[in-house]
Amino acid sequence: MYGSSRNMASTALKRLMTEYRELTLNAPEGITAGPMSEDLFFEWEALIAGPEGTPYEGGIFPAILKFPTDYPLSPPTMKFTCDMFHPNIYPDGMVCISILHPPGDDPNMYESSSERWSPVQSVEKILLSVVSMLAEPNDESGANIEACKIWRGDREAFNKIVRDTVRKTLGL
Amino acid sequence: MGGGEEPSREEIHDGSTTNQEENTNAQQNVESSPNLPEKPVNAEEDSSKETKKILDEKSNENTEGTNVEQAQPEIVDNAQAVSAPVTETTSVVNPSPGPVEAPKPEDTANKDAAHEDQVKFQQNLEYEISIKKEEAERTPLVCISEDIQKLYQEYEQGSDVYRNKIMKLAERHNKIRRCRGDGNCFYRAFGFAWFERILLSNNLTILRTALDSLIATKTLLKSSGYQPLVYDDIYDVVEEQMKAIERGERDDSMLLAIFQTDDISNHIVWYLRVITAAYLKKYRQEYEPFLEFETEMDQYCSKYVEVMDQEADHIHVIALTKALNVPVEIAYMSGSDTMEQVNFHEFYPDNEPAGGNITLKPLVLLYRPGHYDILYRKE
Repeated sequence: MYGSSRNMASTALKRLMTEYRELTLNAPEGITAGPMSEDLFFEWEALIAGPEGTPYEGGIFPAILKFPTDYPLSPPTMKFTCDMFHPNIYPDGMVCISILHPPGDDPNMYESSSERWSPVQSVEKILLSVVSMLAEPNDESGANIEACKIWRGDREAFNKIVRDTVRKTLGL
Repeated sequence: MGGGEEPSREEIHDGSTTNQEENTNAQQNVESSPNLPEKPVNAEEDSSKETKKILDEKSNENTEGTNVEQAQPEIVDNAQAVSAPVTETTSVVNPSPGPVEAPKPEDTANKDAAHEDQVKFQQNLEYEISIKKEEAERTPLVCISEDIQKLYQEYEQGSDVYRNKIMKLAERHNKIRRCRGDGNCFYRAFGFAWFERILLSNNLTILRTALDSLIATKTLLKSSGYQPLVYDDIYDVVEEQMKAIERGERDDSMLLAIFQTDDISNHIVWYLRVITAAYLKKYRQEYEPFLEFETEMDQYCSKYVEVMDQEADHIHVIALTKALNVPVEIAYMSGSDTMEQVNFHEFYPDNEPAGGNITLKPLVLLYRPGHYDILYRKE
């Protein structure tokens, strides 16, 4: 191999460092994120506060973001490390949201209005999208079928399950 | 030469070599999408052949197999979680012998249209990725230039219309350089042809003019509302390549190697995309009327310009040539009319530099429906 793969990783690294600096200087409310350690800049931990007025309110949800070496050309993945009950979060915690999808033309024009990944996006924009997603699930792109069904069929029951999960997360 | 950091001549691919790593990726993608609805018929034939080929190769590669296995469960889980009905109908059609999950009764009961859409969407996406990977195996990002006769040979079994047009084309053009059809071909062809033209001109004024145009794009990006955060690092990659020419550290084979290397090549492609988008946004009043369905320019750019792998349209060509002040001529070759000539469209930026005696000769691209390659005019 020659130097270009170093070049790619270093472009990604530079970008991640800039984003980290920006996020520490002007973190949006309810969000913190940063690399796991100095040696592990391609893996970040994020903490997201449950948005007010939703059953997630009061919860603090940890997640891991993993960045590819060609970031920001390709998007990171995001996975909650706590129990999450949400239509757009897989039971294993993996977040399913359009901004994390690599670009690709969609023959069905599905998700046509939603944002796709491109280098103009950022960690901050991902996390803000995830906060909106917590507040407003998108039941057209279900990741957790059970959560989808209950969310659509019985909102009270859904809210209760979420509140219970939140309490569990907080160790109550 | 930049020592150990630079790609060497040996690493240039020609059109026939395949890349081991890409093969492995292709395996993953083909295997991990066992249920692909709504395939175009031709593509299906192609892809089944490819699949067979890939699988044959796979059986000889035990070590690679482990990776593939590891990569699978997650994707299969997703498909399994969301819908069985689709699996049921399409597993019969699909030739891929990948792991097909048996439909579970409770899933079958769930005929929720939205979920089926989601699965279809996911599968289409995976299918598209697998097609691109197959293409990637066949064609490097940018190929070695070939005699224009090779283009003719491509149509030996095909239509007269094309053959006649290529004959005409060959009167003034002697070489073609193919680019991978991955949705980025316009930008990649433009980028390579531009850098190559600058390199081969061996003219400091041309190089400095290009560098100035490049530097000016930062102002354009800023004025169109892009955060420096998103383009600064990528700009640096492009500028570094231009400066390497200035320092005399590039020759034509090294330039090719660089454009065949995913990372630098894709960074250049994306930078050309974002300046295209910035130009379209800056002159939105002029270009918005050309967008279908009264799309708003910012939204259009975020869907079709800023994202990789989305094909370029006419207005993208105009925008990029103007943003960088680089003249381009495009030979449009389609089989749909019987005119013998290939139509050339000239995209000349109107802001020719004052004095204008030392300007870049136009880059020449060949357009066939859905794809761009680079053409070379006889000296």
